[in-house]
Amino acid sequence: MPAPLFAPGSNPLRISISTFARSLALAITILLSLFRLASSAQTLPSPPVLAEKTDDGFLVPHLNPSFSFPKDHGSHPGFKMEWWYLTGHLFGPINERFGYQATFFRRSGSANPAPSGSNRFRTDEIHLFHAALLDTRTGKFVHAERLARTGWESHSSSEQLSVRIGDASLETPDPSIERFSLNVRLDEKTQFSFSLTPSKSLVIFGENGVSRKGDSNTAASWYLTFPRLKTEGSLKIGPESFQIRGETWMDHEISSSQLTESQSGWDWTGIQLNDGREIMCYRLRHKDGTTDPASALTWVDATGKKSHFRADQFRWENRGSWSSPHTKANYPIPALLICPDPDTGETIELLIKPLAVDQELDGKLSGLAYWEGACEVLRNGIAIGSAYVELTGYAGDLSKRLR
Amino acid sequence: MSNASSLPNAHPKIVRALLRQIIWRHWKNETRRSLLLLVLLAIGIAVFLSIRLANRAAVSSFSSFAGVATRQTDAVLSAPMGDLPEAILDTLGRDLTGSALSILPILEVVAAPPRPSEETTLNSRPPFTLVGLDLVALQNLAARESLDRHWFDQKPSAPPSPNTPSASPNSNDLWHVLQSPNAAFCSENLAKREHLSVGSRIPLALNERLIELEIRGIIPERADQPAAPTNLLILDLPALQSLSGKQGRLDRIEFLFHDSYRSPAERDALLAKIRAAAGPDTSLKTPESRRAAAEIMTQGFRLNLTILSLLALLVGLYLVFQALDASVVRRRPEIAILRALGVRPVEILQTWLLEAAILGLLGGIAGVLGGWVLAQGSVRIVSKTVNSLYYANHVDAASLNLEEASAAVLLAIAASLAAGWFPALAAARTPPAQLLSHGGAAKEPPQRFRTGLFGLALLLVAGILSQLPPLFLSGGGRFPLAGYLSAFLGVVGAGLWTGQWLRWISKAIAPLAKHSAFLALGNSHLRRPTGRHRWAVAGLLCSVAMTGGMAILVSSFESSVQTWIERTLQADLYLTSDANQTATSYNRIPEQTWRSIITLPEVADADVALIVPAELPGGTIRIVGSHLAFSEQRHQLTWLSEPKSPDVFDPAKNEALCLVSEAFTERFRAKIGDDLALPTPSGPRMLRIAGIYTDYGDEKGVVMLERKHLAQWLNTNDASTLSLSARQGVDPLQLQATLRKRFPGIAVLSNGHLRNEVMRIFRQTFAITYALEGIGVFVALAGLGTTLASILLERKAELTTLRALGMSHRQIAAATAWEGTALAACGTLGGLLASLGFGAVLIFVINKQSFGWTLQPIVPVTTLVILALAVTSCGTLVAWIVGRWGAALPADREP
Repeated sequence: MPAPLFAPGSNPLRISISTFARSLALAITILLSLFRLASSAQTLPSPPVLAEKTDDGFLVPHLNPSFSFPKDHGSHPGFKMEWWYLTGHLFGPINERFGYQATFFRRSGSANPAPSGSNRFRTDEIHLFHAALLDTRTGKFVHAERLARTGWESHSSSEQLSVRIGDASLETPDPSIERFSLNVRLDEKTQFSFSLTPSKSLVIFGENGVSRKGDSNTAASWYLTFPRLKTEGSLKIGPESFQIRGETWMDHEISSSQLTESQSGWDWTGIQLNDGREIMCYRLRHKDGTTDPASALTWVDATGKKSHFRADQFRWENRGSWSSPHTKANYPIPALLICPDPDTGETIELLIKPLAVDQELDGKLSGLAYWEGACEVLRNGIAIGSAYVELTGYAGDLSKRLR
Repeated sequence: MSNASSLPNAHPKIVRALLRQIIWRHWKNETRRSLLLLVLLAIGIAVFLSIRLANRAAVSSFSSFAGVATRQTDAVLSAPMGDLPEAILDTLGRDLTGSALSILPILEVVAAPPRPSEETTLNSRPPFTLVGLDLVALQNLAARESLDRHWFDQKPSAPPSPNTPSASPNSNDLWHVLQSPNAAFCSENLAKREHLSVGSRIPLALNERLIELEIRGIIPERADQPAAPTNLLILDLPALQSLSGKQGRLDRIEFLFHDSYRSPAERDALLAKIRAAAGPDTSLKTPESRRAAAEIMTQGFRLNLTILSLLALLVGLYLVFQALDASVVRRRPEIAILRALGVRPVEILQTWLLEAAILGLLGGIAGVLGGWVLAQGSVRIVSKTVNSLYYANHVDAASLNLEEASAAVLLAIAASLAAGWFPALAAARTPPAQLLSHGGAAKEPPQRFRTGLFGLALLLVAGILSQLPPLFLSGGGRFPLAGYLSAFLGVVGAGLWTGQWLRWISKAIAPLAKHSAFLALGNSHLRRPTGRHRWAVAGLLCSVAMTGGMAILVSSFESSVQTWIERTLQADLYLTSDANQTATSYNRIPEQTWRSIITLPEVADADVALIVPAELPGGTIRIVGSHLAFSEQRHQLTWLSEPKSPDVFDPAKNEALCLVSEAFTERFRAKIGDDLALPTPSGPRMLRIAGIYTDYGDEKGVVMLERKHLAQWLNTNDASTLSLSARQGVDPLQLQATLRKRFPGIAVLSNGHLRNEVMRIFRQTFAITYALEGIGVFVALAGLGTTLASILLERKAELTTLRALGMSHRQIAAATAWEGTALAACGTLGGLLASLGFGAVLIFVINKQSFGWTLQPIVPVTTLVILALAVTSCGTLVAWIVGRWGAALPADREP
């Protein structure tokens, strides 16, 4: 049972989902889905020319952006939403294994670039933070979420990667060096502090620097990913402290688009193979149980070269299920991914198996419960890599929240 | 006669039989009388309890409003003077990173409903407390609580009333609330009372403006939390900052510790960490210490009220005593027979004490119920007084508290036992029937002491007590304990001593009595006054002394305040924010507005004052920044100690000088030339006391200094009040009408109106006292009637003889009437004399020690004469009625 962050002792079963929560859920859902849809552009039939702005006045990502770093690692206030999404696999001195997730969302409520409200209590922008830690030795999963308005409690810089929500922060200690520091306090007993250094260069998804999300002229994002960040630092769980090392996957996505109702949820995985390659795959599920053609799988080879596969070129099969005692949702895990290997051309089967079944974030604040967990990847019974898997739309009808 | 208490233990069986056979039968046969007795005791207890409950409710309403939206916070940070800059959050956020706590910045302001078109009284509109919270951050706490609803997306209740336009379904989400300048959340109680729903609008006066808040929902509540106060409105913090003109300012910051900080040592360490982060110019308190401060602030007031309510209990007891005594007299033949049958005095004593205890228990229970009902009314009075004197609170109901209720029942039993002790002793002393028949009962028990001398001794002690200083309560409160004791003992002493006067009156009347049989008869009883006679006199004396004494206090008060306001209220018009309906409303008029007012061509000159509360180590006081030279020129100050040097009136030289009110010197035991440290936002400032003036408008203490300096320290040029003089030829009332029209959010009071209001508020403070005094006089007269009835019952044999000798009923009644008149006159005369002493103690000791005000004593002769005549004539009337009843008593010896 995860320990709540602020008000211990409350009864999770009594939390119902308000419209506010739903709107937050909507934001997260959109963010998550944008993230997962990042490389689906190839499957869409010639989308329309992009608009400059959305109907509510937010900027729309334009083609062939000339990114400038470290500035573009920072926030983009003219856009409606943005997030920095980190998932990673960590190991202690004697190979104690942990998995973690840390997500910083920025959401703007007004397209007007002039800040409203006071400097310390902005009324036009909020930040949301989700984090989780899995201790594979015990199966204990701790997660937390935190909402804050831009101001004294939360902030994201537009000059470099520097985002802070309460005690959690993701910073660039030295703008001349591409290295980040992550500080997270999940609760009074669980906190971690990591240094993240890219061991593989940045991947920009989408055609002409823009990842299209559908046939709308605003549905697009800029999608930047570090598939591997060398991770070092300290981790504290109760009385225990660890010096850890490991690898992190970080996405940064910038968008203003809205999704229409098209799916009941999705399954996603980001796989870091031991041979230096990565796979990102998502399956969009329709309400009738079929798979959306926009579902896709992308390989990134050791040099950063991408290979895309359409929905009909891979299969995501359920290999079991886990019923959450917290939300009563049934999550289809483990999963079997059947896809072609671009290096050999042969079809391979990868079993994605959770390191612990209870890795559900109950979404008390956001109203969106989902499963996001550390997994190992097996081929023919042999571990060949690590993965993070996200399963959404299993705890309540997600499509309602998309409206 | 044997001493009942020294006898061996009573037999329980006999006591039970006596209770059943004697007491119960008596109660059953005389149901109405018994019920009356019960009711009298219950009233005393009810008044006492209701005041206690009302006090409790008023104090408990002083709690953190933020506690409604969260759970009770663990620490509160504020500035000792002025407010906090929100920039302090940057430091706190940085220095407290990693500490398991939530930081809740809060802005709290008081607003009032706009004045109706024809408002005549001040402080008549219950204020609203507007609390600004960060509604986004609040969701982190709300998500973990079992709330009855969510903050956002609340829908209008269906069907909407005509006054509540329905909001469109998508207009009430997070963003719409955050970006609305006037979105507010109200309590469910307010919504029900005022038929409010999402979309309803509430007009309010805030600072110098009229604003309109739009209800966006009901404050979510937890089942295990008390309901949100009716007068609470919650807004998003930046919206309230903007509405109240407090951009960048916070009222306080509350801290919620997470569960890992539960041991006192850990909490203390965290408190120390916060203190270090917040810096030296702030004050960090725990909720316990804040509530304690509120309790201390009103402690004197509440103690005074409790004392007054105890008076109601005392008069109730006096009646219980009279009634129990009368019942012993009525049942004396019965008791005598029991004694003859072998029932021992100790059994009689226990039976009668048990009766008193049962009466106390039943009266106590009835009193608790009555007290709870009464408290619903008195809570409004207390709440209103607390509002105008101490802090904004709004209490509609006082809940029954088990502790207070049990205490009230125990008090009723104890008091009833005390009142029943002497009658029970008298019953136990009843000789057996064979002795009674030989006239054994008519004798008074031997006197152990000389009542008159004892009374004089009490008067002496009262005199000494009146010279003692008050008790100094922590937090700067004072309680005149010795003063109250002095007043109590003085009145009781006078009562006992005055009993002696009956003999003298009898002697003085004797020559006249020779010509009248009824006068001679009545006079003969006064020559040998019994204990009952003395009690009746003492009872009347007490009530007359207290009523008279209060009348003296009130006239002196009124006269002093009248003189004071005539002197100090010199301007034509007085202006303040219309939202300032309580003592703790510090709404201000922005500089631009007040400058536009004082530069109007109709205005000859103006004084601009800035008023802020300040927290000194000894308690909270008020700081008034004004143009001192202007006040001096206008003779607006009445000096107790005049400044020796004119420097204090020169803005170039008075930065380190101040004037203080008399109440300040009383409370802080300060004198001219003393230095005081003011904790201003720009660091502590040392001020030397240059003069002391009288101020009947404040009993917490005022420090007056040059506004220019205060404005600089507080970094504001806003004004709290303006006093304007109209240019010659300009009608002030015309100017008032113009200003009211132009500035609907500003209260503009004419000189006459303000004077009347000041007097009205002073009189309102005494309203509760008048009611209690009235009850006192009524009870004393009832006591006189009961006494005379008992006396006549004892004299039944004599009455029979008198009738046999040919005396008519009318003559017997007249004799009793004379006896009663003499008792009433004696009590009244003594009461009038005692009222002078009582009044002096009230003015020079109790008032001075409680409020620190010097009053010029005035004796309201007319009022006292009317009181004396009314009490004496009522006494005669009561005695006549009892005499007619006594004359008609059956002649047999059976009860």
